[in-house]
Amino acid sequence: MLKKLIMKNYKINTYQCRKASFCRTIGLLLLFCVILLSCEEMLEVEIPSNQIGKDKVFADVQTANAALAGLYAGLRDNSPLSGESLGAFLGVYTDDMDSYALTDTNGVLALYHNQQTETNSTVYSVWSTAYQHIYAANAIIEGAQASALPGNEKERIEGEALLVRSILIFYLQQVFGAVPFPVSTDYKVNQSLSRLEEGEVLSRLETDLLRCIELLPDQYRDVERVYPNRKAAELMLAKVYMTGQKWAQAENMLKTILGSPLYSFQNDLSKVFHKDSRHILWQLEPANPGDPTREAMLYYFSGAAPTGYALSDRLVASFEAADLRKQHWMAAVIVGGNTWYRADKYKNIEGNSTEDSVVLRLEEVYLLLAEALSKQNKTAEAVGYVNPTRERAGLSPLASSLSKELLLEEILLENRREFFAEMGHRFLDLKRNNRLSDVQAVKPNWKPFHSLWPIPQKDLLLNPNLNPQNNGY
Amino acid sequence: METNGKERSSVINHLKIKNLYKSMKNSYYHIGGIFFGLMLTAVSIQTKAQTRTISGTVTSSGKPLSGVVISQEGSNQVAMTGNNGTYTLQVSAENPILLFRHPDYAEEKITLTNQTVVNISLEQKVKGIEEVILNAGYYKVKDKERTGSIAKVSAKDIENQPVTNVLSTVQGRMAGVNITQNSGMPGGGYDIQIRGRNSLRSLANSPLYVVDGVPVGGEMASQFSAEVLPASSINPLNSINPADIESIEILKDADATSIYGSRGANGVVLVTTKKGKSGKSGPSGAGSGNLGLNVGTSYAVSSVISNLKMLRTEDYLMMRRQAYQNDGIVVYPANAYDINGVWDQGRYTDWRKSLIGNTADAFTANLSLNGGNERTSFLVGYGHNEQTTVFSKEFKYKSDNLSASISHSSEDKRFQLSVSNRFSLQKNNVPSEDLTKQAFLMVPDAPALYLADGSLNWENNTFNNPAGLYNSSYSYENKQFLTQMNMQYELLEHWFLKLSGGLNYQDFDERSLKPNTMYNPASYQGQSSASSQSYKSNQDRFSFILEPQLSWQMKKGRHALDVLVGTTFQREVGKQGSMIGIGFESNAFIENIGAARTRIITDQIRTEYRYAAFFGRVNYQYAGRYILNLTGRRDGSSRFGPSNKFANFGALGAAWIFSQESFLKNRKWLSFGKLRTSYGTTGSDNIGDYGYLDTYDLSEYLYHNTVGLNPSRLYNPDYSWEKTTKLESALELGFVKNRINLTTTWYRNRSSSQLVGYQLPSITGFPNVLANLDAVVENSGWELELSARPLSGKSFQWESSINISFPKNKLVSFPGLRGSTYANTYIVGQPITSVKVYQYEGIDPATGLYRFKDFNGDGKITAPDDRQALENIGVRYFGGWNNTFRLKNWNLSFLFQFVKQKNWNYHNIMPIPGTMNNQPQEVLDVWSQDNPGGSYMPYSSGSSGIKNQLHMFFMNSTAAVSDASFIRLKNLELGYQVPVKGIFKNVKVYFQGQNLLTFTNYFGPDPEFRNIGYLPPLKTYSLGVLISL
Repeated sequence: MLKKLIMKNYKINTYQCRKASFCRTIGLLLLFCVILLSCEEMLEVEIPSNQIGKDKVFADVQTANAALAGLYAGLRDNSPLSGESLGAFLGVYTDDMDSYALTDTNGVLALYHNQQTETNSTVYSVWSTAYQHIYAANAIIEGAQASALPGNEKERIEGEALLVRSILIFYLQQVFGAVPFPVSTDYKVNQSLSRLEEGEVLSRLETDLLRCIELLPDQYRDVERVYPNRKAAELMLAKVYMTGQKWAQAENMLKTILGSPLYSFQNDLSKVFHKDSRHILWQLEPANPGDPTREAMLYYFSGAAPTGYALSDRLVASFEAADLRKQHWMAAVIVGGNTWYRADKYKNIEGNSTEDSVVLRLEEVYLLLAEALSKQNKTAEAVGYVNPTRERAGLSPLASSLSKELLLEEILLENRREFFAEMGHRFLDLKRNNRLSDVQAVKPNWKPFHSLWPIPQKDLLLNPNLNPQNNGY
Repeated sequence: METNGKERSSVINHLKIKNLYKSMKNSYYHIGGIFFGLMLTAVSIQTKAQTRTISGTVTSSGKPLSGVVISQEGSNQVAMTGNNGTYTLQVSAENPILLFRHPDYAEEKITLTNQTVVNISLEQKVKGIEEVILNAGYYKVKDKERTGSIAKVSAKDIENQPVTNVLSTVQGRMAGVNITQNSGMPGGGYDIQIRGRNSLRSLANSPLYVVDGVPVGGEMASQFSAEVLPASSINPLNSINPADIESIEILKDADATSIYGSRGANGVVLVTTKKGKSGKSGPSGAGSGNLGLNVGTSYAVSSVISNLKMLRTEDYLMMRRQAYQNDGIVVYPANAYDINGVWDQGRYTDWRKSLIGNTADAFTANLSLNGGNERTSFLVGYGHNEQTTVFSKEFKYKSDNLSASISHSSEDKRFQLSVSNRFSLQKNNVPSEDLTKQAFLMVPDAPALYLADGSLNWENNTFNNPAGLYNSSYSYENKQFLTQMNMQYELLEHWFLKLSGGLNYQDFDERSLKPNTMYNPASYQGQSSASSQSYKSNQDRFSFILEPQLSWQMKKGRHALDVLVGTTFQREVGKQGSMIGIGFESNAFIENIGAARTRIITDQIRTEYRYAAFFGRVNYQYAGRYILNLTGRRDGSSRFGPSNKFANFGALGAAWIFSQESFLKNRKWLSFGKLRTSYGTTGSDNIGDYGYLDTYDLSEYLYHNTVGLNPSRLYNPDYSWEKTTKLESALELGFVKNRINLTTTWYRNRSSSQLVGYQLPSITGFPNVLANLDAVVENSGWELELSARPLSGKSFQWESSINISFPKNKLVSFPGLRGSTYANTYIVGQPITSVKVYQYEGIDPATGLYRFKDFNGDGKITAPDDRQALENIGVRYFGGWNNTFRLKNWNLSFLFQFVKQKNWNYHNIMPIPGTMNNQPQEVLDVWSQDNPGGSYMPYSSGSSGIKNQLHMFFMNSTAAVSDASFIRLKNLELGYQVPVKGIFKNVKVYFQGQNLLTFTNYFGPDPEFRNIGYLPPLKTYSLGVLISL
C-alpha cells in the first residue's frame, strides 16, 4: 500500500518534471525563432585579405599607385604593348620576321600567311586584352576623379591612366580601324557600344592626350623611368598628329620633347636597351628582380632551327654591311649549313639586371621629326634627325641635299632598321606612309584590305552594334 | 527533492537561454556547449522500477542465434543473446510484452503471463521494400513510407572494387544519376549530374556532398594542376576510403532536397560510413563474440582503353609528302624534321604504347576492428591504397585513411551518442603535364626518347622530347580531418532533442617542379638551373556545422505524426597562399624555394563563408497508407549582397500505399503498391564567395616592387538565388511477395532566375558579369527501375536489377534571348547542351574540298549565319543492368552500363591531316581523282589558308558530332567463400574487373569522355582476399 502511494507520488512528480521540461521545450522553440531573427548579423563576413574596397583604393596615394602598378603589370604581361605581343605579331604580319611554327595553334601562322579570319585567336587576344586594360584605366580615372586625394597626385594618377588608355586605343585604331571607345566602367553602356570612325577616334585621342599633358608632370616618378611622364604623352600625341597628317603640330610637339633637359641621345649602340640610359622615355620593368624581358624570352633560339620567330631575309638584307646594328642587335644561328638570325636587342635570358622593355625612346622622336619635317619640305633640317641613328650604327651621314622622296624613303628604311621587333613599328610606319602594299613583294597573300585586322567574331556576336565587319573579312 | 532539483535546473536552463540570447551575436560556438549541457543535465535523471527476471534461448533453424536484441515494450530493459543464443532480461509490470529483434530475422512479439523461461525460434526474413531504411539526411525513412525520390547503393553492391573514389562504383547503378570520371589519372575529379543540368553556368551543377551529416564543401581549387587534372578538379569524396562506406544515398526530388534549401537544387549526395556493430563482426554479420577483426587486401593492374588506331610511319610519311606536294612546296621546311631527312625515316614507335601504355598496379589493404556490448560499440579502421600510373616512370598515388567511431546509448535508451573521426591523407605525384595528347599526336618516326647512356635524347636540339616531362612533377598532399558528433535525447515521451555537429579541416599542399632539364637544352628555359621553377601552394579550410534539432513523434490510433524543427549554423574559413621560386644554383635545391634566386610570395588570402538556416519537417501518416510530408527551409548565406541574403524553400510530398487498401490487400500477385508525388523548391548558392563586392584584387605580379591592384570583377550587388522548382510522381509496385519490384518515376525540374556569369563582349573589360537571367531551364524525364529475384533457392540464388533513365533538357523560355549575348548559344525549346554547327555536305567532286551548307545563300560560309545546323550533344538514355548469382560458396556479379548519347568526336580536335601530327588511320581514306568517295579532303601541310579555314569549319560541323553510345562491362566480381573453422569467421577470395569490355561505334579514344589531352579511363583487373576473425 505504502509502496503504491510512493509510486503514485513518484508518478506525479515525474509528471510535473515533464511539464517543466515541456516548458523548456517551448523555450527551445522560441529560441529557434530568436536565432532566426538574428541571422542577419551572423552572416556578416569580413572582406577577404586579398581584396580591398574600391572606395579605399582611392583613399590614399599608396593604394591608388598600386592600382596603377596593377595596370602596368598587366600591360607588360598580357596586352598589345607586351614584349611578346604586337612586336612579334605585326613583325610576322609584315615582312620583318618569319614564323617557324609548323602548326597554327594560336593563329600566329595565319597572320604570318596573311590569312587571318575573324575567329583568329591571336587577333582576339590583342583586342580583348586591350579592352581589359582600358577598363582598368577607366576604373582608375573614375576612382581618382571621385577621390579626395591631394590635387597634384590626383591629377598625375588620372593622367597616367588616361595616357595608358590613349596608347591602347591608338594601337587598336591602327590595327582594327574604327573601334569602340569606352570612357566609363559601366558595362551596361559598354556592352552595346558602336565603333567610332577612325578620324573621330584620332580627334578624341588628341583631346585626351592634351589633357594628359596638362595632368602629368615632367619629372619622372622614379629614376628608372618605369612610369610615363608628360613627355611620353607628348610623344604619343605627336604620333596621333602624324597619323592624322598634322605635320606642323607633330613637329611642334616633337621639338618640345627634344628641348627637354631630361633626355640625351645614346651614342653607344650597346647601351640602347640599358635601362639606365637617358634616351628612354618610358619602359616596362619585368616582374621580379632577375627576370628577363618578355622580348628576350620570346625571340631566343640557339643550336637548332627556330621553332618560333626569326628575322626575315629581307630585313637582314636591308642593312648595309657596315651597319653595327647587325652585329649588336641580331645573332646568327648556324645549324647544318643553314643560317638564321634571331632578334637580339634584349640579351639577358637569365639573371637580368640591366634591361627593361622599352616602350618609347628618343630615336623615335628623331625619326618622326625627320618625317614630319620632310613632309613639310624642310628636308635639310630633316636630315639632321636621321643621321644620329645612322652615325651611331657606323654608317655615313646622309647628304642634306637629298630630295624629299628619297629622304622619306631613307626614313622609312631607317625606321625599319632601328625599330625591328619593337611594338610593330614597321606596320605603323608603312601604314602612315601608305606603303603597306610594299610587303606584297614577299607576301603573296597580301591584299589591300589587310591594312586592318578583322573585328573578332566573338564580340561581333555578343555586340551586334560592332557590325559591319571590316572590309574583306 | 527531485522536483526541486528539477526546477532548479530548469531555472538554470532559463538563465542559460537568456545568456545564450545575449551572447549569440558575438558567437554561436556557445550554443553547442549549452545544448550539450542541457542534454547532460537531462540524462542524469533516470527512472527506476520493480523487476523480475526472464531467461531463455533464441534459435533459428535449430541453431542458437546470437545478437538478438530482447526488450520489453514500454520499458528501457534490453538484453542480447550471446554465442549460445541465451539471454536474461529484467522485466517489470505484470503482463509484459517482449520484443525479439535481429536485423536479418523477422521480429517477434510475445505477451508474457507468468513464465520465467521463454524460448523462441526466429525466421530468416526475406528483405523486401518494407525493411529498407533510407537516410534522408535530417531524418530516416522506411523505403515503404517515403514520399520523396531517394536512390541508395549499399556497401554490399560496391565493396571490393578497385577504385579510389566511391563515385566510380555507383556509375550505372542509380537511375537519374549520370557520373563521368574526368580522367583516368588517380586523384582527379568527376562530373556528376543528378537529373541533368539545371544551371546555364556549367560549373554550378555539382551536388552537395554530405558525409555523416557534415557537408564536405566543394572541390579544392587546385592551382597548378590544369595540365594534368582536367578542370583542375579534385573530387571531395577522394578523401573517403570506399571500404569505409556503408551506403550512399542520393536525394533527387523536391521532397527529399528542399530541406537542404539553397544547396539542394543539384541533388544531395549523402555518404554514410560504417559504424561499429556490437557483438558481431564482418559485413555478413556471421560469427559470434563481441570483438571482430576484418582484414582485406587486393592487388590490381590497369591499362589504358583506347579505340583509335594511329598511322604507322610509311603511311604517315606518305601523307606528309603528299601534303607538301598538294601545297606546291618542294623544299621541306628546315624544321620539318620528320620528312626533311634530319630524323631517321625508318623508325616507328607506337607512342601510345611508349608514353601511356604501361601497366599501372595498385595495392590496397584495409584493416578494421569492431566490438562493444549492447550499449556501446566501436569501430576502428585503417586503409591504405597505393597505385602507380600508366606513364613510364615511378609516379604514384597513395592514400591512407584512419577512422574511429563509437556509439553509446544510455541504459534506458533515451540518450544516444555517436562520434566518429576520420583522418585521411592522399598523396599524388604525377608528371606536370598529361602525356596523353603527345601519345596521340607525336609523329611515328620521331627519335628515341633516350640515348644509349640513358640520358634524354634531344636529337641535336631538334626534338622536344616528351620524356622531358618525367623530370617535372606535379604533386599534392591532401590531409583531411573530419569529425562528426550526433547526440539524441528523449526529453519526454515522443520528444527528442538532437544535436548534430561536425568539423571539417582540410589541408591541401601542392607542388609543381619544373626544372630546366625538362626542356630542350637549346631553348631559353633549358639553359641552366637558373631558369628552373618551383611552385608551392598551401590551402586550408576549416568549417564547422552545428545543427540543433527537436523532433516530436506521436502515434495515436491510426494517426502518426513526426515533426522536426532545427537550425543550421555553418562557417567556413579558407586560407590560401603560394610561393614561386625561380632560378636555383642547382636542381638539387629545387624543392627548397628558400634557395631560389627569385622568390615570389603571392597573396595570403583568407576567405569566409557563413550560412545560417532554419528548417523543419512535418510528416503525417494515416492508417499506414496515406502519407503527407511537408519540408521547408529558410536560408541565409553570406554569398549574396545585403538585400538578397535570405530565401525560403519548401516542398510537399504525398504518398498513397494503395496495396494496403481493403480492395487490394489480399491480392497474391500484388504485394506492394504505392503512388507518390512531390512538389517544391530548392536553390543554389554555388557561386563562390564575395561576388557582390566592388573591390580590387591584389595582383600576384609585381610592378617596380609594388604589388599591383586589379579590379576584381564587374560590379553587380543585386544578384540573388537561383531557384529550382521540382515536380515528381512515381508508382512503386511489388509483385509475388516483392520478388519483383518496379518503380516508374516521372519528374520535371524547372530552374529559373538563372544565376550566370552573363557573357559580355570583351570591350566591357571582362568576359562576364554575375547576374540573374530571366531564363527557365527544364529537366524532365522518366526513370524506370526493375529488380527481381528470379531464383532464390537455398543453394542457388539469382538477383537481377535494371535501371534506365530518359532525361530531357529544354530551355523553356528566355525573354530577350534574341537581343542578349546568348543569342547564338541557346535556342528556346532546345536542350542547353545543343550546339549550332556548320552543316557538312561532303566533298566537292570538282575540287576535292569540303562543302558546307550556305544557309543564308550569300555564297560565303560565315558564322553565325551559316552555323545553323543544330546538334544535340548529350544523353538520350542511360542505365545499368546488374546481376548477382550465388551458388553455394560462389558468387558472381556483373554490371553493364549503357549510355545512348551524341557527342563531339575526334574530328572536333583533330589537327588538319598533313601537318606534323600523327593521325588516326581513318585519314588514309582521302579524296582524290582515283578515290572520289574519300572522306577527307586532300592533305595540307598547314600553309593553305583555304584548307585551314575549311578544316576549321569541319571541326565545328555536323561531321564532328556523332553517336557516342556505348555498352560497357563496368564491373565484374567472382568471389568464393572459403569454408573455414576455428578463429576464422569468414574468408573470401575474389576477382574484380572494371571497364573490362566496351562496345561502341564511337570515333575517338573513348566514348565516355572526350578530353583528348587527358588520360582515358583505365581497364582494371584485381584479385583480393577478405578475412574476418
